[in-house]
Amino acid sequence: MAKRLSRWYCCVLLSLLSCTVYADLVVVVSAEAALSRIQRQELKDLYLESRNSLPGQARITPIDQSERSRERSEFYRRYIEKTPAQLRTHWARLIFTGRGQPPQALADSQAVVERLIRDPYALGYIDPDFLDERLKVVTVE
Amino acid sequence: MNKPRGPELGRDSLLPMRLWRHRLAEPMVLFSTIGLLMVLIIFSSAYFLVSREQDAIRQQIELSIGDIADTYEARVLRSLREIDATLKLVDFVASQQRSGVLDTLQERNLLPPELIFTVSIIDHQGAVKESTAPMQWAHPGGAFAALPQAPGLLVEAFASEGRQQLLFARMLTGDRDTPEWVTLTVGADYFVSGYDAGALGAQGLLALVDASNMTRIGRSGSQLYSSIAMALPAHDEILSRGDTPFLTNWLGVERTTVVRPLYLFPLSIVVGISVDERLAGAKQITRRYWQRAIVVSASALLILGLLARLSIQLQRERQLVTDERLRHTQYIEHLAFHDTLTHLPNRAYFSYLVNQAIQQQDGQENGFALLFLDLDHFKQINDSLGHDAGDQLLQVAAKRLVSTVREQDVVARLGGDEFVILLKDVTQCDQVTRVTDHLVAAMQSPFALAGESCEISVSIGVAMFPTDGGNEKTLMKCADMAMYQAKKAGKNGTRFYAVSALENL
Repeated sequence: MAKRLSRWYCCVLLSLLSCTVYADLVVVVSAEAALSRIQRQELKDLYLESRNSLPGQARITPIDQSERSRERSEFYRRYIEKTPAQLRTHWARLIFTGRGQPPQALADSQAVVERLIRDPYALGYIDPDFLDERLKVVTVE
Repeated sequence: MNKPRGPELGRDSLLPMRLWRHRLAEPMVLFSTIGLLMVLIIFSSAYFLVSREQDAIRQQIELSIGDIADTYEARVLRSLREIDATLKLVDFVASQQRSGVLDTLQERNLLPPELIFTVSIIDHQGAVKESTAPMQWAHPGGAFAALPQAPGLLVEAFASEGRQQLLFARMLTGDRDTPEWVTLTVGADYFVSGYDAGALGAQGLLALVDASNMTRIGRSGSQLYSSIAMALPAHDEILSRGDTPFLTNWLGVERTTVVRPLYLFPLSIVVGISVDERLAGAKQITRRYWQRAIVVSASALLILGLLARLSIQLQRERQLVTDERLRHTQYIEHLAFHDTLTHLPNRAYFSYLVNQAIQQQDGQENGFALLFLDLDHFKQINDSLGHDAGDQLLQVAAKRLVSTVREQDVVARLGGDEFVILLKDVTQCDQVTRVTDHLVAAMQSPFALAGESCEISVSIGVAMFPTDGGNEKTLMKCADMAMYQAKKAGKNGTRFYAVSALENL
């Protein structure tokens, strides 16, 4: 019994590990950017509160992806912890009351990469397949 | 016979009023009146405070609803203008290029966030030419027919996937063979997403209504409403009425409501605040007022009750003292006017009564008789049986005399064994003789004294008023003389002054 249980635990642990190791989403900035790590709360502030700066940092422009993209749903599920419906309600309220606009949404990871290498102040999330030397992965703490 | 105690006091003409005032000062009446007044004052002031509180709340609602309506109106107008500006922008770009209009705009970030808004270009067959949303434009067939055939903004509402949507459309201008349209759809709840429960409460209302007062979208708390008619005044009436809030009852909730037609758009905003909800918030305060009123009046009544008890006790004690004093005064008065042994009127009181009788009789026919009585052989009895027996004899004799005469007649003791009787309303001697015969007979029956039976008799002298004398002194003298005659004639008999005077001659 104990043996079976421990094997089961191993399975769970392995699968969790694979999730983190083979993360199919990375938060990135231009290689020229100074930013290298970011708090999860700061990320939430950037993407939900239409902030364009962080304490102790220069201005940061968050870049979103299209509503239909896999990366976007993964990003909001994992880092921002909001469902699409919650997000809609949130932004409807902010846009209607004139307190903010959602981050600009680009079509796909490729578009995000192109935007980031042009703008050292922009921050985005992409599929790791699109990573190259012009970009820098930002660690989310 | 002992009833008249002395000279009567003059009557007070103000007595009824004094009595009334006296009644009012009585503790029970006084304190219950004060208590009633206090409770009345306390409760009416509590009522006043409560109604003032409620008025303040109503006033506050009217003030805040104006502010909320201002903000809401500005936000809706801004949103509508942004939407219309987007439509005009698409129109402008579409006049420059045939295809890729929306892509061009999106590249420059000139379209509203696709998260909320969907912009499409529709051709004359109702097919979607371009759209920011990938799915086919799932619009019910009717809406295509409703697209405007002339330049101008169209606002339509339709339901899609269970959500109320608002459609804004403009016909594209420029040179083209077939008409095309640019449309913008947005979830209708976008226009009520500014609902602030802190300001509007759980039962407030934000709504967009069209010209026929049909709700395009409404929100109360987290509940959304659409396509429900609202009983509001007609459009023109609202315009002429100004900005005064009024009461409405929509779906069972009474609200203070403000309606504002939007400038240049065929829509009005409606803002409502539930009066009951706000008053319920103040219920605690009003309940506290009532509780305080009850506590205050209860303690006031308690204090009043204690005071009343004390006062009643005090009054009772004072009454006792007064009664005691009155009894004492009466006793003193009685002593002054009565003989202590027989309790008959004494000489002074008898003299007063005789004078009174003379005064009353003045000018009238009716006279009275004055009888002077002296017990025969009283001295022997007193000497042989003792003073106590003598006193006892006098008491019994007095009782017999009183019971023999009429109620209105007066029997008095002058002292020793001498009695006088005033017989009222008699003029004839034979009337008197009947009485004196009875008196003589009453005295003749034996007395039981100190275990012995003894017999005495009485001699009576009679003087008549007014024939024998006009004043008390003369009458007494005449009666005395007549009695003396009776003694001389062998005692145990009666003599009239007039007759004895004739005899003396």
